[in-house]
Parts: sequence; structure tokens; C-alpha cells
Amino acid sequence: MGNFIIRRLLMLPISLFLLIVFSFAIIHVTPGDPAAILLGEFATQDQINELREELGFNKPLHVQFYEWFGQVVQGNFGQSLIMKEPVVDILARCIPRTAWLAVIATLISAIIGIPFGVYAALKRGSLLDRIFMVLTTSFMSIPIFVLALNLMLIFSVQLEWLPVAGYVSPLVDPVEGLKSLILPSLSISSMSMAYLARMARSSMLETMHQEYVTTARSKGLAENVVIWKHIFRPAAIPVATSLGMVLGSLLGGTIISETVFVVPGIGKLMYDAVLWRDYIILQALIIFVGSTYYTINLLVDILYAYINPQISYE
Amino acid sequence: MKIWRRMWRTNKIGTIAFVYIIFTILVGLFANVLAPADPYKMSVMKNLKPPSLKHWSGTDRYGRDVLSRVIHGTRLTLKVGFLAVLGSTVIGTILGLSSVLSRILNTVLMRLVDVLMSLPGIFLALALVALMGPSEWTVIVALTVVYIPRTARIVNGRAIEIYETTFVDAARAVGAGYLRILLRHIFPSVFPALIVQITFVFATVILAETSLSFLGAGAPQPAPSWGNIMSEAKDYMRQAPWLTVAPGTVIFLFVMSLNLFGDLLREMLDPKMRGVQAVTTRAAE
Repeated sequence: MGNFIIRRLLMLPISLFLLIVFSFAIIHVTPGDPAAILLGEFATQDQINELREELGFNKPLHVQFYEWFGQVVQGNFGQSLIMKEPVVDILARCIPRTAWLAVIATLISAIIGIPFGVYAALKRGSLLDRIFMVLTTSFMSIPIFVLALNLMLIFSVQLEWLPVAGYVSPLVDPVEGLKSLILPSLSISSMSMAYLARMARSSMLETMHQEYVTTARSKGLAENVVIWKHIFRPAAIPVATSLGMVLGSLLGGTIISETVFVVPGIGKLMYDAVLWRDYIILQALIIFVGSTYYTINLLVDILYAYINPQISYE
Repeated sequence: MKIWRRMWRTNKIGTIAFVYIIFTILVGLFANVLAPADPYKMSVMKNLKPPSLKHWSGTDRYGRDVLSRVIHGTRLTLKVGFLAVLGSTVIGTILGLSSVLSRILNTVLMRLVDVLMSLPGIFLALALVALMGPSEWTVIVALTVVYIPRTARIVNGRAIEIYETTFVDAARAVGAGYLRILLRHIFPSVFPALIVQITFVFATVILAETSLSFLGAGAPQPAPSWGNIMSEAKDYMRQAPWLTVAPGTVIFLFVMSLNLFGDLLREMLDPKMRGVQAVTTRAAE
């Protein structure tokens, strides 16, 4: 197991390096001139050339990469072209907001999803189980923006219980903060809720048929004890590790949710960077989001290996 | 005809879903004939009208019939989805299968795949579209790139499983070349999982395409697509809430049918399929 962890940890710098290469490549290898795209349709060739010179595009590619890499390693992601602010500052501002969304969404998904999954496993084959499967499939089939718009329609426009858009930090005002966060969080959580529910169900089903469960029952233990101590506990492990995956994937959902509900977090930053063709922010986001996602998965894998001694390396 | 029976017996809901999928594809193919009105025809007098006998889903901001736009949008979304799935499946399968041939190649390729997968799907697709400019083809390319690693991973996992089996060893002992092993032994076993996977990937791609269109990264106006109709609808929620209903419902029903059909396929082919499941959170970001 130590072997496994070491191998995975060794992969981390390599993967980070590849990520940095990728963030560079994606800008310079895709068809289209970033400078021209930045300036828009009506730019003259002179303006484009000037911008290219300014941004250092005329230097040979490997020189550009070398400079970029050096910058990144020192923690300097450059300055946003549109906002004229160091990207690091922008990121520092946006991350907490997305973090709130991600945490709340994960909590919602787990608290609602897992119990339902467990219950469906216990009542396997019944009508409830069937409904459960159809329900989870439908939750997985709703695009985030459809859910977001419909929630907004019902709760903000028609009922006027919750604000239509905007963000208030829960640290500043807990009640208003929560009110501004609940709908965006709900929108992102539908897919993970369904996923966790299904995972919980299949994990429970797998554990339920193990021999040690039969043994526990034949020892005369109360059914309750059997369910909780002997089925649920081991079944919870894969579910706990998929929570990590869920957290990571929520990052993608925030792009849409934050744009619809105008929450100024990482997701909206991504959208704005795309809108304004601010490739410097894009590069930084690729590195940041990529490494976060990768690290979370790494930690989850290590955690799983730690808990389940049967896993060595694939 | 026997296959209908078998489908119906395996999973009734899945069969109904399959019918709906065929129906949607037909609607897309025959959009010109089926649409009650011209989706591009604007009329200031008739704008933002609620559903009526003449306009079953009402009209949008420019007076265009929403139902016709949704019907025509089917075409675009299906086309993008189909091409993206085709591209990513073919390339992903080739990558996944070929990496079985050499340990080093396998490690290198799978590491690259891991890096590509460390970015949420929509995120990567959006970045690509940003750099290439929004258009139908950009979206197709972007989505293909995003889903290649996911397919490659699954194919590779399955292929390695099979490679380690005794019958492949036997084939090699007899002197079978690598290509033969791939084609005769590995691919046929990978195939069922691949087919089921394609269905789920299609569902995910449709979700991704509509999301991208919604964000404005898809085919530009005035071409209708399920996503960009909803994007316009967003701004008129108070005056015209019905605008969000039609495209949203259609997207939901179609994706759901794909997922249900995928479940049916999986049950029919091998109920114990591991690793292949409905629209996973990882892919569907």
C-alpha cells in the first residue's frame, strides 16, 4: 500500500507539469490568433501586430513556454487582460464563493441522496425501488441550466421567496447569504444526488449478499444491528470515496449555475474569460481547476487504498 | 420482430424510451416538413404571445414560433451530438485498444488521458470553443476532444482485463500477431460495453451541447438549438415563462430516454457490466 501511495504521489508533479504544458498548448496550438481574437473583428493588422509584440507572441514557441513555465512555478499567473488585475488576486476573490456552493451542494447531495439509496437497497425489487431508479435517472437527465431556470422561475419569480440573482457572503449575513446560495447549490446538486443515491444502493446491495452478513444473522443479531454495523459500514466506504469525485465534478456545474444566478465565483469567472477572450485567465483557470480536481481525486484514491487494504495498484 | 419482444420483456420503460428516441430522430430528419411555421420568420406584432392554437408553445421575443424552433433545433443538437459521439468513440476506442500492445505506451497514453480528464467536461469544451470561436463545428470538435479520454479509459480498462486472460495467452503462444489478437479476441469482448457506453455518452454529449449553446458558445443566432432558445428565454421569465418549458422538457425527455435505453441495453447484453453506467457525474459536468 505504501508502494501505491508513493507511485501516485510521484505522478503528481508529472501530471501538474503536463497540465501546465496543456494550458500553454491549448492557447497556442488551436487555430486562430489569440491577439486577433482579443481585439475583435474590426482590428487592423497593425493593431494586431502591436498586441502580438506586447504579449510576446513573436518569440519562438519554446521561449514563450519557458517564460510561462517559470512564471507559473513562481506563482505568478500574469495579469488579466481585461480586468488589469493580477490573476492571483482575482482567483483569491472568486474561490471562496465557489467553495461555498460546492460544499453546500455536496452536503445536500449526500444528506438527501445517500439515505434514499440505502433505503432503496433495503427494499430491493419493490415498487419503491422501481420509482427510485426512474427518479434518479430523471435527476441525472436534467441539464443544470434547465433546473436552474425552473427553480428560479418557481421560487424567485413566482413565489418571490428567494432572490433572483446575486451573492451575499454567508460570513457577512448568514440568512441572506444562505438565501442567495440555496438555489444555485440545488441546481448543481441534482446530478450528484442521483449518482450518490445509486452508488449507495449498489454498494449496499453488494455488501448485503456477502457471507459475513448471513453469519451475523445466523448468530441471532437483531436485524437493525445487522443492517447498520455489518452492511452499512463497509458499504459506506465506496460511497465516501465517491464523495470526493462528486466534489470535483461540481466544479464544472458551477459554470452554468453561477452564470444563471450571477454568483461571482470561479464558474462565472470562466464564463467571463470566455466571453472576453481573456486567455490569461483561461490559462490560469485550466491549471487551477485541473490541479484541484486531480488533487482531490488523488486524495480520494489514497484514502480508499488506506481503508481497503486489498487494493494495491491497478 | 422477435427483438421487440425481447426488449419489451427485459425492460418495458427502456423500450418506450427507445421508441421516443427514434421519434426524436425522425422529427430531426423531417423537421422541414413537421414544423408548423418558419422558425426564422419574425413578427413584431406577435411577439411574446402565450401558447395558443396557432402557436402551441407560444412565440418568442421576435415573434417566431417556439415549437418550430424547437423542432428545427432537434436537427442541430442531434447532428452535433451524433458527430461528437462518433468521433470520440472511434478515436477513443483506437487509443484504448492500441495501448494494450505495449506497457510503456499504455502508461504514457493513460497518463495523458488522466490529465485531460482532470478538467471538467464543460470547462474544457468551453475553453476550446473560446479559442476557436463559437460555431457548430467548433462545438463538435470540442466535445469530441472532451470525450475521447473518457471512452479511451473504459475501452482500455476492459481491453487490459481481457489481455490478461488465458485465452489471449494461448493465442499468443500459437503465434497470433498483435493485430489478430486485437481484432479477434479483444474487440469482440469490448464491444458490448462499448455499445452501452455509447448510449450514455450520447446522453452526456447532448447535455453538454445544450449547456454550451445556452452559454452562447454554440451555433450562433438565428439558428435555433435547444440550448440557445432557453438562453433567450431566460431574459423574459417574468413576461413569458412558457418559453422555458418547451425546450427544457424536450432536452430532459430525450436525455432521459437515452439513459433508460442504455439501462435496457445493459440488461440485455450483460447485467453485470462494471464501469459502465448512466450519465456519470464525472462526464456530465
